[in-house]
Amino acid sequence: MSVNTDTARPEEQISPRVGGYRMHLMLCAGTACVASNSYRIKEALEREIKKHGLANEIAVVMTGCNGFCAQGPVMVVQPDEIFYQHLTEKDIPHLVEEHMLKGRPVPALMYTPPAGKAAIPKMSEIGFFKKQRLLALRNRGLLDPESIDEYIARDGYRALAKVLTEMTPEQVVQEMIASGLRGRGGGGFPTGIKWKTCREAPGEPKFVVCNADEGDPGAYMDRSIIEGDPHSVLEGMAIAAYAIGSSRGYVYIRHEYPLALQRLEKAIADARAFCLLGKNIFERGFDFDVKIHRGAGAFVCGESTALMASMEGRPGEPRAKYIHTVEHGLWDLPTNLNNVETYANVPPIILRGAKWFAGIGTGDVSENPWGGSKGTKVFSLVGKVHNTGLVEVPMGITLREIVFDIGGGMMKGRKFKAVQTGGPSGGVIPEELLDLPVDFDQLTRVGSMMGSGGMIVMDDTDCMVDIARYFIDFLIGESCGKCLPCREGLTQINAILNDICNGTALEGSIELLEELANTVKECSLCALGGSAPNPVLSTLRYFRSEYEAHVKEKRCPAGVCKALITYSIDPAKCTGCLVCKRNCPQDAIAGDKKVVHTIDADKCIKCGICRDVCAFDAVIVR
Amino acid sequence: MKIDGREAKAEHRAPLLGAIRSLGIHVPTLCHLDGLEPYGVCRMCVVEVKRGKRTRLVTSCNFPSEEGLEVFTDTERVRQHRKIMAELLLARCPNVPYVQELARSVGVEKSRFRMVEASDCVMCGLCVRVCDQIVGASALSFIDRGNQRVVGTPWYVDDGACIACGACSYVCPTGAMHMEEQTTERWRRELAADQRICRYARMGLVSYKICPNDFRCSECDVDQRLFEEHGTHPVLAVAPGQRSKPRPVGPFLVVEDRCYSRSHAWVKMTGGHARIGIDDFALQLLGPVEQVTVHSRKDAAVKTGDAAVTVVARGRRMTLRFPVAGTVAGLNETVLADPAMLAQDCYDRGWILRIRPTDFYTQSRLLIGRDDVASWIAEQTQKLAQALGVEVARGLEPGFGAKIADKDFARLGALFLEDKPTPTMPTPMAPRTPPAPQTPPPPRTI
Repeated sequence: MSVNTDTARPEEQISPRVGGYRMHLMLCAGTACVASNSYRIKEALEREIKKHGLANEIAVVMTGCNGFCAQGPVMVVQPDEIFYQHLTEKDIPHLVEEHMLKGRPVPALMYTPPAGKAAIPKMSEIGFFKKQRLLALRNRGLLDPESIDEYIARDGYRALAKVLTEMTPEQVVQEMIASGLRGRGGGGFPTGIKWKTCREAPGEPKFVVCNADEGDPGAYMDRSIIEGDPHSVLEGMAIAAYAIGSSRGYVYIRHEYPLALQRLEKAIADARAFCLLGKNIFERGFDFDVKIHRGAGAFVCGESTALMASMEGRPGEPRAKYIHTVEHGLWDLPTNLNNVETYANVPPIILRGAKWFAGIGTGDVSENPWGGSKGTKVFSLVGKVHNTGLVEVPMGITLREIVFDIGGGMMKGRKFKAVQTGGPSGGVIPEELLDLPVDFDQLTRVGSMMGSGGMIVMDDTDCMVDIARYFIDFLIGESCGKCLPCREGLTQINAILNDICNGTALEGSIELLEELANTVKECSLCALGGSAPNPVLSTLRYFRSEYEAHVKEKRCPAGVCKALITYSIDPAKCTGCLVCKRNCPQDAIAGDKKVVHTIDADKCIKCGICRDVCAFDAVIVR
Repeated sequence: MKIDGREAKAEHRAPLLGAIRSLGIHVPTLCHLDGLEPYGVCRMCVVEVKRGKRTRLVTSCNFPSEEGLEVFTDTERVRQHRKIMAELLLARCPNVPYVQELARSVGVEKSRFRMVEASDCVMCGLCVRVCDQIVGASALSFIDRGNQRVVGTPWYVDDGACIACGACSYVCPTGAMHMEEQTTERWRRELAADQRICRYARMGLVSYKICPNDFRCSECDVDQRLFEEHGTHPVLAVAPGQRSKPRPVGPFLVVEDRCYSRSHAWVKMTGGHARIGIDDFALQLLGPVEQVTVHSRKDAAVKTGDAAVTVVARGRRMTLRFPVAGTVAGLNETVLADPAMLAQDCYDRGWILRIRPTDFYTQSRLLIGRDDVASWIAEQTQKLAQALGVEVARGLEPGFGAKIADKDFARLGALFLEDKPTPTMPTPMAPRTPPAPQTPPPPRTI
């Protein structure tokens, strides 16, 4: 394949990193690592490399997000795949001298598993990476996101060339249907069917829109894909445009993602310069260009109709979806809206075939496109596990594998209690269901959802009522307020949850809460309201006894709800070390060196600092 | 279609509610008003629909009818949800008789929920939507979101868009919308005697009228007469805002919510600004537009008849002249960058510039008004067909402009696209009788 060879480019524009080096230092430039100074480390590396005269042998590449964000800043030394973590500027001179000059990797900077065994040098042998399978994130950490050459060198835009030169739009649609790819934004609607409906819908022009308005707290897969591999999204969009017969694309991206925005802008400009966007792409008479639309940061604008309203310049409020946006979308014209991750999955499906893709995952989609979940899904694994970060796993992997093998188990050796999937409006899944295979339908069956892929692990110090209250509180702030059940219902749910947490709830409030949550779920106008009660309903389903303890016994079993707990010190465990006394902001702790401490309940504000600082586990919460 | 076991008929894709009510079945609604687009926010009108094996809960005010659909309006599930929602409403508006009555109709006397903050507004959005869709003023909006949401002028700014018609307070079911004298007070203060345009003239209900009553509409016999004639708020019966959709007149589209100059520039007044653009007639005659050049900068003072914009299509030029005098307030950069979009939408997104006019209402009397535009375009179409020597039906199909030879175009351009001001002052007129809308007032029972 040739990529517009007639496009003359000055020699120096071609990335110098593509060949000729014996070692590549792939330093992460995702938001988390940039925040922990990876650009400073880059300077330090380059300085040291130059000092040792290795500048012609070793290249430093700033890559997209590596995924292992908790260990940042991280760096992978290629081609040996040596993984370094928690780098600081101080480490660099030693590291360069030892590894780059003398060829001796530095174990002190490598990943050590929680069990305390020896350091693991190779990235692919670290538990966090071992069970992952990368499709959407296939170029993760392997290229500089700001270089189109490197993307092309990794088979980039080959899928677009293939559809334009070898396939008809109908064939592309058929391929997508056969692949069984379902929307990664949360709804799980079969992508191929959506493209087909949009292709057949009357009305010109048609639009291709990419939803990059990722708003779930703690979820950042879309940001990471755009930051790390923006061209894969553009290529996916171009293929979608060809399939549905559109020439105009939009990316709706939230304003809070400055780095993603900057890289996307660069990617679009580069693709235009390479004639991969614009008029007459691959000289096949196909025109397609992409514009960026920045969202102002409303969670509800991730909902398709609200997103389109916002793009049209109206308030970002959803409308009833009895008439679908593929037929009447942006400016009332047929519009195909997919999520970032969905588009990123498209090029490999085209290149490697629907059969290959359908071979990964659960169920059977050969007859019913809803019959299974195919491919992989990116999750942002956060909460009380050792290894937090972004993981891409095949559909059908169990929650246990994600939490314990990839996540490395619970922190501080605490007991696993539940995992919340699907973002703020997802549900909580208890320990009994840890062996649940993760796919669209299984998660929905147990009262949660895939959502956009947030995964928050909780341990026995998390109170489920408090968790539900936290998410509802978030959703109240993000509800647009258009329809009654969501606006008033969530406010009332919050009021009841507050009563329960404060110990002022009356008998019967659990039943009322359940009734109300069901109405909000069934009667709300859009999916935000429709899924908002999930945290309440799923915690009620699996942890009802915890609610009952709050209401009937006025007790918070997890020791979280401040109105229902008291702090005291276990005289048997206290060594009289004074640490808690020194840290108490209220001077509520009495005691002397080597004298058992006591807490004055009247002064105590239940902030929990004493428990956190006590090295002997002597602070009791009841 | 079956509703509660009874056969029912409705137009394909018409909202279910009409068919349900035509059977005499009671469905409570709050945010529904005939003549407005369904909004579907009060959720009181939920019903169960069954298609094939799948049963689901939908709002009947906006769910499209469809053959073979089974509808159940009074199941246990429906009743339960309506009750909870009535309780939610009651917790928000405990003192509003309308809400109390609505709650009683679904069997709720008292709410089990805590009253958060008593309010009179049920957030049905009737006021906002009437102002936008029926009045066409778009002076009201929702502000903020979630449970902080309130109704007000956008950003709480009084931008002069309100025409003091009072339709919002007329349709408000709970009496939460009060008319304040703010706008009329300002008019009294600021407007000279000859600028005091009657509010019905601003709505387009009467052609041109100066208010002799100091804007005390309740004392005005024109106001009284219009109310009596229509049996409802006159603006609801006439619905000037619904003229904002393009409608075909012969082969061309016109929009009847604005004025036109004789050289086919349109001008539309919204909130103190007049937007100016080119109409479909001129656009079709020109053919595909390649370039749009604006001759004045922002903040420049312009007079009526000054060259405003030059539109170039395949080398042919047309100069659009300012239909009204004023100060240039802004340009539509989207159109200037992508003139091809004019072909898709020359009336709404395809505006070219906007100005702050000096005394729009007096100036607009020299233009072709909204009531006359259809007949004017029809007449122009006939003339054009004659000049081209073709029939309207066959010679003026889409894309005809591109087929006209250059020398013919020069002649046609002089005939149709140049301003030949023939101002005739419209005589101030008594209210016109609109085409007898003898409809009873919209049912506001629940």
